[in-house]
Amino acid sequence: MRVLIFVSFVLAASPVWAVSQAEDIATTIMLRGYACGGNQVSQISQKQDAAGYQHIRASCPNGVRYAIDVSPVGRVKVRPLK
Amino acid sequence: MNQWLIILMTLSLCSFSTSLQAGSVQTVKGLPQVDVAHSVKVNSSDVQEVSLQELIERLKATDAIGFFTKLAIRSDVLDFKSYVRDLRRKKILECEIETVRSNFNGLVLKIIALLEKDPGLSKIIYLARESIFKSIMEVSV
Repeated sequence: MRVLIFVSFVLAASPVWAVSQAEDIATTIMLRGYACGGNQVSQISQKQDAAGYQHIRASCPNGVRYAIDVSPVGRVKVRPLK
Repeated sequence: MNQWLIILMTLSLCSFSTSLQAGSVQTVKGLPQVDVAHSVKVNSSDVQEVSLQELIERLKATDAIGFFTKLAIRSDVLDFKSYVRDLRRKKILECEIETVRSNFNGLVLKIIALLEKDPGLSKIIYLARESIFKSIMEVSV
């Protein structure tokens, strides 16, 4: 009981406006000039290859699935998937 | 007792839920329409001077934008610096100064719009934009 109350207070103390990963990816897609149809993505998959590239796939509310590729030096590229 | 616990947890979860929808991006290009001249009412004497490095650190540390968004902004800034460097190498920087300035203003506007949840930092960036532009235009040896 006490643990549950403590956890709920901890959650309440978190910043209300902290950005979720879904919103972060949606914003990144829109920053690159692509329409997303909303401010959150879904069906996020993420993996890293041997070269250090991060490959993220996510679906926007408008039905388009995007690929976000992050290079080891932090360069971000966004492209729509067919 | 169980009902009170459920109410308490519901309230805490509601406060944790994203309130970003209130300030959600609306346009196709994804950026809210921000009139920089009017949306940030500033008095330059209220803002302490901050170095460019401090500004970068604050931008890295802000919770108003996410990790990938910060990387995307960084990519944009690096592309802009590379563009200025290319123009300088071709010795046509002065001829293209208006285009460079326009691109810079667009970049600053983009960053300020993204920092909607961190008005203090967006205000500082707005006030420091001339210094930032000068530091980018300076010749690096």
